[in-house]
Amino acid sequence: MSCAVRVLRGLCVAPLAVLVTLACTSESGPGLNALRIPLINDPILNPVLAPDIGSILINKIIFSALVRPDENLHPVPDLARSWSTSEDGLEYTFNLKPGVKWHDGEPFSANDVKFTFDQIKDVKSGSRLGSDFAAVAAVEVIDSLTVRFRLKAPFAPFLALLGYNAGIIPAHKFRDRKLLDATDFSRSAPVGTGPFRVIQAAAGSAIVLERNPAYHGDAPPLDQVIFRIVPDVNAQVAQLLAGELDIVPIEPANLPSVERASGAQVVRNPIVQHVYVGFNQQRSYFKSPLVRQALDLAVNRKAIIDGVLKGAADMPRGTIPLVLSGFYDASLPAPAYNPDSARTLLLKGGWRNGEHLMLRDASGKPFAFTLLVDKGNPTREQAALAVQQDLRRVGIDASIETLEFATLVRDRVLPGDFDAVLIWWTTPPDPDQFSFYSSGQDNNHVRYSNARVDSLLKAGRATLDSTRRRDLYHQFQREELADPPVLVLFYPRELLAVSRRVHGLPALGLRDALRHAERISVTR
Amino acid sequence: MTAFLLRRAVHALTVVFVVCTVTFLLVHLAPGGPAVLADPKLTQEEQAAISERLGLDRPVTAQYAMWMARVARGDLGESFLYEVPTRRAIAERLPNTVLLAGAALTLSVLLAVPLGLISALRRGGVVDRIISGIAFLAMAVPTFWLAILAIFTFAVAFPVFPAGGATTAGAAGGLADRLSHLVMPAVVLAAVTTAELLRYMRSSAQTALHQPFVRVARAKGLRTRLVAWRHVLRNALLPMVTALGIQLPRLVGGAAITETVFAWPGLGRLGVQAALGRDYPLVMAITLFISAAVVVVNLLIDLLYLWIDPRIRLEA
Amino acid sequence: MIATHDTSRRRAVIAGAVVLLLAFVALIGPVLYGTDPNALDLTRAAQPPGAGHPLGTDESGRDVLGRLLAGGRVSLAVGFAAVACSALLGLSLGALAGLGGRRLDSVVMRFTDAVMAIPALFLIITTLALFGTTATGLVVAIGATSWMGLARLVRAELLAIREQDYVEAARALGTRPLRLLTRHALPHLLPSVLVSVTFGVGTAILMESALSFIGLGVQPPAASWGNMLSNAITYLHASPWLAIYPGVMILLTVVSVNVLGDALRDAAEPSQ
Repeated sequence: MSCAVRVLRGLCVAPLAVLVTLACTSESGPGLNALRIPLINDPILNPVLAPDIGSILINKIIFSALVRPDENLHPVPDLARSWSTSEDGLEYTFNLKPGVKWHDGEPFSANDVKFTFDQIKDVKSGSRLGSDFAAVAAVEVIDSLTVRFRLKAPFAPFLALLGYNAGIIPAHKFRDRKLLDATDFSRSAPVGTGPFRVIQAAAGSAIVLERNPAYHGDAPPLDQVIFRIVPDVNAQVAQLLAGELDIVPIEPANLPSVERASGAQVVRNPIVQHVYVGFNQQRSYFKSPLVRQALDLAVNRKAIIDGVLKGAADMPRGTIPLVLSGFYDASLPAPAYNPDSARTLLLKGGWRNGEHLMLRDASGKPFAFTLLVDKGNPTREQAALAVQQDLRRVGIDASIETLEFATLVRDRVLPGDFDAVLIWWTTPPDPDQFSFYSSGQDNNHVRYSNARVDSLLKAGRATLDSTRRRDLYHQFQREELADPPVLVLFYPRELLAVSRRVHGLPALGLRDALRHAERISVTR
Repeated sequence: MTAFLLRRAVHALTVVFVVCTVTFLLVHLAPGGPAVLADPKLTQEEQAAISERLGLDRPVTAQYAMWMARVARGDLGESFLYEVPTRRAIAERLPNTVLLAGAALTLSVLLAVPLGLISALRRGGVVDRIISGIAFLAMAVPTFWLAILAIFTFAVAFPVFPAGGATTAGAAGGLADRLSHLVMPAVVLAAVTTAELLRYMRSSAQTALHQPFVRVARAKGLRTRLVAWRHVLRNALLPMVTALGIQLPRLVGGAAITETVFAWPGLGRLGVQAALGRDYPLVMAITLFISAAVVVVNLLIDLLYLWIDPRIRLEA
Repeated sequence: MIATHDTSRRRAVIAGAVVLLLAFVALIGPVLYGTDPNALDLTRAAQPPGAGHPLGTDESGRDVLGRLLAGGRVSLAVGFAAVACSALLGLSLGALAGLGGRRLDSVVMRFTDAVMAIPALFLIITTLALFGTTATGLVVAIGATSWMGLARLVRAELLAIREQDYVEAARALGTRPLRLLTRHALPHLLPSVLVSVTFGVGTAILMESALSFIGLGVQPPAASWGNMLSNAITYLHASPWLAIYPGVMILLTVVSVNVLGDALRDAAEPSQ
């Protein structure tokens, strides 16, 4: 008996002693002057190659671009001090800031800009930004501080796109090798001109950035910015609550956990995104605009915004997000929720009431289809369920299929093999939606085709005068009421759980807020 | 003896070869393709360029041949998602998984052996019932649940341990720092293994206790304690060693979940993310590597067995 | 010794009773209870137990008790089906190895060793990618990664009894291998198979919940204890009861199944 007890005692005491010692050295809020942000996966530290949002986020701090968006999402100078546009809108000449140095001390010049855009336009380089800059014909170096872009046609979104994801990369680091081969650059030792530079990259663990003493803008108050790799969202929230992270993007589902915590607050910023249900207009029953109008009336957006998103979204009026206030017509009425009118419209369109009040067409086929939604996001899954229920009330039988996002996009959306899909577009801070909703364009997955919309979007993208542009997009918005390209559900707000020790974070989406990283500070 | 070793070596190689082929088949026969192609904004041109670069436009048989040739050379391909040689991706994370799995295994053995022995000695008694009860509970808890509960209890509610990661990023991070990050993930990972090893130890100790020589020893009047420690333990440990061999792949698989929740930069987590993203080269490389490691470890265990139990040596 | 045999039998009976009760509730429960487990009501999300919802509502306003019952049906079905699948695979492959010639034995054993060397979770995830995350795919995937132990057992047993006289006699008389298997081998094997199957149910249920956590388990809106538990984690702070119910059910089921299997194993061991 005593032997067993002694063994047990030994087993308990020793580890306890160790644990107590270790507990005292655990990680509390650091006296560190650092900002800590989570990423889901190891990033690719090259803005030309970056394929995912995490990489894009961190690259915004490491790499400056020619311009960047201000609080109103208008492009303001970053690496370019000033610029001028030719009369015909085909040439943009940028005057670069003098004396800018790369993180490794080399001088920055117009050659780097030319190099970056040559790589961007080269499909074989692995560039993910090619489609953004399809309008660029050539980039010329006029002198070491002047660079000129020549466009194929007037292209109004150009400046916004320059400030979006097009960080400038150093030509001298790629003199004798391809972007894709430079793994040390993309993985651990990138060189940019941003306010912070990478000093440590532990695979799977964290990327540590420190202040760039030679930064060409205002000196940042922070000593370090640390990106920790935390793949699970709940673990991210737990780390925020434990004081180990400072800014965590969350879903409405996490709100109750965060709102209770005294050390964090929730910030809801509008972003340039619209979440929608896309109906494949190659399917006969979605072809008619009347049907799509009826579908618009059938869905209770307010219930979804309040119930699923807990208010963290805005009521939509078309596909141009509210936050682009310069181009958004807020005077238009909010979409109505009227299931009775919806059903009337559908009956007028040739459908009839069948058993259980489910709609059937003239030959007796039920109005049934599959709604695809990506897996693992409770917000979108719940929204899909809500849409399904709303449609059922109008007599439409929608069944839901959840797929992994990659499979959804690659195997169903891109090839056009779907009936309806609940998905979203995040767009640059510009109202141009030509590639999404103009006939035959690459990103027009729903195969929407409306001649009037085509001409409006084409003109909108080529008009440089902002007043005339606004009018064009207002007309587009109005046209969308009569012939909806997609069923816009809401404009989501980006939910960020932010530690109270963080100050100076601009009221923009995180990817744009981080472009002003030199304004952020923390209390120690 | 050498004939035996040779046979086992050939056996090991065959197993690794089969693993190679099976993984390749599974990965390439799966419908769809890798996540790198899944960007709604990709143009046709961009998609084609990526496919070509990754060799995805070649027929499956050609890809298989390329893969096998590469493996023979020791080159395990380049990851689609991370764009580094898979060898490097694995090497960077391997020490972390070894540390975690090693700590968990050590903890398991340290707890399971004495507790299992005590259970066996006091079979049917209160102590046995309590220990067994806890073991059964531990075997029935889903790992991710235990992990999240641990984090919320010991990192958020009572800030005793860090909520995740292997070190405090950005800080100097000494031994104490690394150890404090290791405690929770190791304990969570060890929970199921400890319980299973404990039950195994209990039953094998029980068997040993009923061996004739033990009965004789007890009949002769040798004190229980002595009998236990010298005879029973040594004989009971033998099956335990085999059990360890079986636990090893499960530990690595279980590590995947623990590593995800605790943001531990290990191989298990990498494997899951690679599989979900259909990063073919990385999935194949990791599966191959882990299987090879398991095979090698089992080989070593067999050798250990040979050394411990002379009877087997004679049979071989 | 007799005392322990009795206690193990008692434990087996209790555990067995619990398992049967769970299975019964899972089968009949959803029918008796009547509430639609998938009926969303976003205005009544995450309510504690109250009128009309004896166990409260979940994050989408669905009735928890209804989902628990429906989920139980799914989880137990997946558990039993997966185990049946692995038993089938284990028996067949073990028989092939045990009864076939030396070469067949060698090939099958190498294959078994190879599959054993790959960690189950990886194998399942990759297998699910092949068969898709349907219920069938899930069952096949879990079954396909847990047959190895049984196969080895069956093979060992068959190799052992092959040498026995009565088997040689039967073969001399011309009895076909399959008959050999069913008439002579199976009765010997039955206890081991039973034990393996019993433990397998617990493993399958736990595996399903781990897969739900990764997003590859039973797909919503269908409920399973595993996906209820992993969804509930996000709401742990605000609505902890959402995690407790499915967690307790899983715990109860797996513990019962393990105790039962353990007791069966004890009963099967002649040396005890």
